Amino acid sequence: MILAAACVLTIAVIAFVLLVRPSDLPEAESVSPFAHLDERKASIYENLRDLQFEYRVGKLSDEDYQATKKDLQRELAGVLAEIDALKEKLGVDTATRPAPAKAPASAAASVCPKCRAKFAQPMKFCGECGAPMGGQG
Amino acid sequence: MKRRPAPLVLLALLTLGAFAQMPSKSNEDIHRVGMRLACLCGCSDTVASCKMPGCHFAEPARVEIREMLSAGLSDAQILERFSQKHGASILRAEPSSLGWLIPYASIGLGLLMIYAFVRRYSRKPAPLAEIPAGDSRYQEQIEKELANLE
Amino acid sequence: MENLGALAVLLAFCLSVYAVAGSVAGKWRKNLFLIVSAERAVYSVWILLTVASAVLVYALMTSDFRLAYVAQHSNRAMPAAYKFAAWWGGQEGSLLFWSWLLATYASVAVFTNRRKLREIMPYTTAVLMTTQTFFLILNAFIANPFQVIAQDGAVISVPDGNGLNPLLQYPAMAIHPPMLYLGYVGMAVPFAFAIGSLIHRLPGEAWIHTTRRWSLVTWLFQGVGILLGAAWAYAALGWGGYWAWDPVENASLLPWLSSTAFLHSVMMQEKKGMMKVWNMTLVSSSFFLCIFGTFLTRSGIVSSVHTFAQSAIGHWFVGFLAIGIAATTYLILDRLDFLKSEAQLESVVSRESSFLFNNLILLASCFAVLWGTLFPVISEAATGEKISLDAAWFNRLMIPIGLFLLFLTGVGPLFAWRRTSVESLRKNFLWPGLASLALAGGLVAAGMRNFYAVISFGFCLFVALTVLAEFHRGAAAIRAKNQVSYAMALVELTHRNTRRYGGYIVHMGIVLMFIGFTGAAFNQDVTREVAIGEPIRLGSYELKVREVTDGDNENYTWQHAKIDVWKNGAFAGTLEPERQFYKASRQPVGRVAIRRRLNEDLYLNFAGTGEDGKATVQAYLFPLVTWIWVGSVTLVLGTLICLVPAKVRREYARTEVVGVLKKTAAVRS
Repeated sequence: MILAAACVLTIAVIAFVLLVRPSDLPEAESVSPFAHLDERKASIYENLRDLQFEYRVGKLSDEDYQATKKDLQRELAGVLAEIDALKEKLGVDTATRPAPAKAPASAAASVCPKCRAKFAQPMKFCGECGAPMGGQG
Repeated sequence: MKRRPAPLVLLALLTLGAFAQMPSKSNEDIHRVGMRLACLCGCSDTVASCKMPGCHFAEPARVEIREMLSAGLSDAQILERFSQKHGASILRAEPSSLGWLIPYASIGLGLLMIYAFVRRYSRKPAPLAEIPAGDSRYQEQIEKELANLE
Repeated sequence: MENLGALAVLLAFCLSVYAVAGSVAGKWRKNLFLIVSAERAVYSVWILLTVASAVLVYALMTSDFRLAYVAQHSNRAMPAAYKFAAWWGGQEGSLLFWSWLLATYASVAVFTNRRKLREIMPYTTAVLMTTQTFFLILNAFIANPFQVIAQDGAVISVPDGNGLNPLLQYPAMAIHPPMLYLGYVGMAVPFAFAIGSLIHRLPGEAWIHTTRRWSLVTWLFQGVGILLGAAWAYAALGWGGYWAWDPVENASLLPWLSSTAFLHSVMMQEKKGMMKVWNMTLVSSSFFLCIFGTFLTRSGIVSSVHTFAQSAIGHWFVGFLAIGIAATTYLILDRLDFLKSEAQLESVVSRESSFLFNNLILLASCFAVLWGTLFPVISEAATGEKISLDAAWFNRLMIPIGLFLLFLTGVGPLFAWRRTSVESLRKNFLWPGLASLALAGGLVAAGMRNFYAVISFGFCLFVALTVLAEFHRGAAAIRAKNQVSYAMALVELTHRNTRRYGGYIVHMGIVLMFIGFTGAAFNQDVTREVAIGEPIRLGSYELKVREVTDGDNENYTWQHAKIDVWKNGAFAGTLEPERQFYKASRQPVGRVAIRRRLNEDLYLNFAGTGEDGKATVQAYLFPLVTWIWVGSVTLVLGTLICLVPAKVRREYARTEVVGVLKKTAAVRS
């Protein structure tokens, strides 16, 4: 009984490991040669967003804000230049696809903060109770 | 992240000694002497640090130390008695200054490394000029993408 | 049955060697079939180890005392839950458990990346499986859990086993080792990805994005494991301490400290592309410290309460560590150009510098703990005399370091990235600084003369205020903009950047824990032999033993004391500590009774009755100790928040080669 189980286990495992059919090969996600540069760009944008928020809540002095913003923009320009250089080197034409469409600008803008009514798109004022909703609708 | 301020415990114990109703010696004294004696139960710890519950060597030894301390014996006398009873190999050396030196030296070394790192990677605050002229063509793209940020 | 287990381990060993060879060869010869086959070997190793573990657990549950492991670590009288826990209760079983966990992690890592990061996955698999091979060597040849007891060439069975160490028969203790092991083993995954991308010279920080959650979860498991261990020591060991700087405790703290440093400094790489060499070093050293921790626990090189078995497997660990560290060092040095920093420091007064100091202090404390742990071994090698360092030594060294770290916790977030002007600093520092100075002054005026305690409370307030200010400012801004309630704004704020605000909550947990640690400066204790009804006084408490009963069950005999407690003259309930004597292991164990309150714990240990019928009672008063557990829960909550995906994801315009379709991808942030 034990012996049979051991045999079955051994054979099954070895068969599983060795018998790889062509259809089992994974379809790898193609990777853009620009992926790491896009990533850097995204991280700079994120830094900019953080910077703006910190400035708005009053953690930063004007002077720091302006200087850091300049730095970040300069870095951004550097990355864009690198992308162009790479494009030239690879000799390919590229298109920039915008970020995937975002969910409604922010959830807060399509849900009334007062009566919790939901709307398909962002609204300036709630259609149910009239409370301001902060959307651009 | 855990630090149990034992020297503070000692301080607290001494100042709060008035509350302790037993005429016994404090645990810290026993600990101090116990640290100088190897535990012979098979572990390689000391009498004070052996935490084997119900250790046949450390626990009676601690009681013995407590009694000797209460009888007014000095640390050296207690150690002498133990070494007579169990042989000189039971004695353990006191922590040397080397034990102290190295960790602090490591902090010093770390500070030097930070200094070197800062020196290596610092740059003069670049003149707050606009983005270099050659890159001005990106200005527009940046502005556009920035507007989409929030 | 045990033959099936042994066979499964042996087969797993062969397959894991195959997986290493297959993935590397497949990568070099660009043979996709070989790579996929190697990945299947990873899954197979998991299946085989699951079978082996199931066999062992089955033997434990059915008390199959033909197996030496079962006879040593289980007995018939133990409850089923502890029979199961005996899987990781001893040397051989816990190494099998380690192997099984590693195989689990490896399978999950391979499966989730079966379509991603194809260039580096073969190397990642190879690194994971090399570690797996090492542990399987131990499982199969050095510490085989399936050995049977033989006498005169015939397999025999003993009538009953020794049982699990009674100190370990405690609920927190049953889950403490698996938690720690989840942490120890988990570090292998970030390490494998890091090495994979290093070998391949993968551009970008993909390995960081991929392993960010892994390292956080691992860090969480490690932390929870350590804290459970502390809670166990506090409630089970009977001397009221939660941390004794025991070598094995230290061993679990080491990788936790270095991965804390890694979690912080990795932000430098994500934000600015700096300190790549350093992060590579940190992730590697965290991994090797995990192996080292297992080594300390399992080899008994520095003896401690935890090393129940001593054996010769130490040499194997030393060998693996030496080869691994040498190989990693070589790889890093060989690929320094790939790890070149992309940015510079704009200013010395910046968040970047605060991270440097944070790393310095975390690593210095890591090194100090390592040094102290190994000091007996080092001093014996150097001078021939074994010099032990006690808990007091660690405390004297670590308290100042810990306080400085606490201070940095508060200061760090006040600095802005890149540069911080004096004006910004004044804005952020003024009120928290003044408030904590006022608190310190007040405490001294109120008669607190304990220097460290005053400093610690001052820093705690400082950090708490800076964290609260951070939440308040953000929430106020969001409330003003979105016109939502303050509570909603707080949720929105946290949801927008879960990593940052979850991190702040973790910091808050650390503050609460420090409040608890500081309480230890005011501990009181008394040990007395009393007759029934004779009062014991401790602080504002009065204790009277009402009665002592005894009895026995199949696992142990017990003596049970009922002690009435009065606080400031008012009756405050009855505490019932117990003394147990385990029959199988012939060990006495005290089960303490604790009256837990937020301001202080009353902790009673009953040491049995003497011949004169007097009861020996040890009473301790531990102020503020509950805050450690409150802080721990906060820390766990904060980490869980960090793991929630942020609402604002990093989605961005993608540069695409025209004519090639791509799937949408977002960098997980």
